[in-house]
Amino acid sequence: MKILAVCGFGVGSSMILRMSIEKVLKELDIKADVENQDVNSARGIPCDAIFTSIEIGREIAGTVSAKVYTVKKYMDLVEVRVAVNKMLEENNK
Amino acid sequence: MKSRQFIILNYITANEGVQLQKLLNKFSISKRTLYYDISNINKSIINEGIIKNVEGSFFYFGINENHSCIQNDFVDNVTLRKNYVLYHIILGDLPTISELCTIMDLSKNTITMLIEKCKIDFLLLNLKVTYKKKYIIEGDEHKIRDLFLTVIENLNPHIDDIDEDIINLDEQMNLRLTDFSRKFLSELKKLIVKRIKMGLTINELSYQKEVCAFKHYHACKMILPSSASENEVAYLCAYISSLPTLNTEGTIDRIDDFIDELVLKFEQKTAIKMQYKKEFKVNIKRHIQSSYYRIKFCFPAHNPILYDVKMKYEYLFLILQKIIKNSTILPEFKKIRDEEIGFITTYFGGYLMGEVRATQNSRAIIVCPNGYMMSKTLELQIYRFVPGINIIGTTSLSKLDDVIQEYDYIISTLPLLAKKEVIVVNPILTKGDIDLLLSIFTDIGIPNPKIDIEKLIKTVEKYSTVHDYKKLETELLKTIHQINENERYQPMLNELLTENRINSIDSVCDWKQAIAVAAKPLIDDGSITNVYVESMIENVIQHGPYIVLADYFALPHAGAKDGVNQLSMSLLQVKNEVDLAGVPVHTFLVLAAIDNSTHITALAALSELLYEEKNLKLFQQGSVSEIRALIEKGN
Repeated sequence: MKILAVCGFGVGSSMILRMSIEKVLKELDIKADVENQDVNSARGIPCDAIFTSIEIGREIAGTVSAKVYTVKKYMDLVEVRVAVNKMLEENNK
Repeated sequence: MKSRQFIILNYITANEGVQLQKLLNKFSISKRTLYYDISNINKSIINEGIIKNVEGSFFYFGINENHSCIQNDFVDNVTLRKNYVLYHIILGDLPTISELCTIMDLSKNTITMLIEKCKIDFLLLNLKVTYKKKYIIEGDEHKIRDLFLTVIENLNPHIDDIDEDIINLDEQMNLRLTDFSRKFLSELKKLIVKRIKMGLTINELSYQKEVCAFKHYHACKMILPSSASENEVAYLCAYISSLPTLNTEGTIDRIDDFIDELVLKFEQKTAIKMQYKKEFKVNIKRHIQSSYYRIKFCFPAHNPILYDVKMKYEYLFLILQKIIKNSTILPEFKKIRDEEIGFITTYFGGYLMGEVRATQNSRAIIVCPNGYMMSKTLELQIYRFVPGINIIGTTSLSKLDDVIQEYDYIISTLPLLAKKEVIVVNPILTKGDIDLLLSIFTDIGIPNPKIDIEKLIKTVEKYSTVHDYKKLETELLKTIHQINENERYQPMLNELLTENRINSIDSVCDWKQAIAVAAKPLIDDGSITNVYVESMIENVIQHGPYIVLADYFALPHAGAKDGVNQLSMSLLQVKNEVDLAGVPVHTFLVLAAIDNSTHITALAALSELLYEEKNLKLFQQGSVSEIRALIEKGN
């Protein structure tokens, strides 16, 4: 499974988001490839899911094929956990 | 150069065109030994000439035909001297002081000092040294053996004098050991036999049962005296499995899983995204595969660049150490030695610093006058030390011209005249060789210590007037240092968030002002320009408040290029809540990155801090000194 963590530039907050996602996945004992990316590059990378903020989510909606999951606070593990669980559920359907 | 080699050299010089068979008969040595001797001779006389084999006859080409003044190896090599003495003390056959004076061409005083120094080495290892007609070393038997194995690796072994039993064992069991492996094994056998005779034997061996099942276990039993305990047999047997061989089959199943785990955990811990993962895994697999048994059975590894690696990649080394020691897939790596972690660190370090330089430029071919065996030994060593190298093949000198593949460099143990891009190395790579290879094949060459500042200043002086020698010297050193260090060093969080970069104010008029005030220390010291501040604000306007990573904590940042002069961070705490596009914030941490990896160390440390509620509170409400203390602690 490949997951993108996206922010405006792909260097700062997306890296933090990625660390959070990885932390949650590790708790759940799930292996996945998580990459941090900027908005534009994210459009061109094939992946299974995209995690980003509500605003950027709106921005890229329709331009990417993967499902987008939004997180308000990138470091809020509770919030990230909810989003990750949602993704896992939908992927299993 | 050994005395026999010296005689051979003089013989060839005196008898131009002497034939191979004649030399073999004259000195009653094997072909392999002769070739090895000649390669050694050629290395010693590198500045004067060379012995060449022209269609089966040997000639000397060079300027000086009188080789009486050739230097004794011991004269200028302190390590060699010490290892020589250690070797003979452990074996209990140290020559007398006056004999040593002759062998090493040193004064009595120097020799006595040397022996004293060696005794201190034993004491430091908690080993007891007694002298009753000969030296006897007692204590932890494993430590004694480890020291011995390290010493023989450092002695630049001459691969003659190999135990017959070892050759038979090798051939019978089809182990295909390299020349050096055979030599080391002969030495170890010699030691074991001596130790057993003295009643000093290995009492405990954690892997004894496991090793019994190895296919060469019974053969090992045959080559040791009948009084050897099961432990001793198992020890020798385990050692054999740890040696480099030419056999490539027999992979260990879990290594792929281990490497996956290693890379995954590494990425998690550092938040580094490895781009050429597949290539990297192939590379490192080759290394781990060949060292698996050595690591597992805890045999010492010779890593002359360990110290440099630890200095240069301190953080990386610690991370990898933690990951490897806690591996669930290869728990046998728990007791891994620092030397081994050093090798693995070189791989990761090479990957990160060099971003794997396009392999197109670094295809190498190994050439050895002694043919396949020697070049294979060299190949194994190069894989161990130089990550990302692409060795396209090995060949003997005579067949070099038939090679059709393209290559960029020739790695050889002899200078090859009339060939370009030849890298000459020793058959057992020295630190200098490794530095050389690293600097050629990756961007991570260890700073060349040989740069002579004095000479440099003299050159400058030739064309200009120097007003301040001391200052010029420091500045030059700084410049050289920087070039080598590159900007790729990954600073820690506390190195970035220094005291003057953490501030606190009561209120601001809006979030834009907050970002500007937060960034001010960086503008002041030239780390960033106003362009970057504008980009950070623009980013929020365009993409919304996603930079608020946790409650009341924002990470303003923008793209890596515009307006950033150097990687930097600054922090501003605003006592009165600030509204950032609808989200309340107290703390603004400005991040100015120069690329997408050097800030990872610091960012990873920060995120670990922020996952804890009480730290988040401290960032909102704590004093500047409390925040500073937290950051110091969080590294």
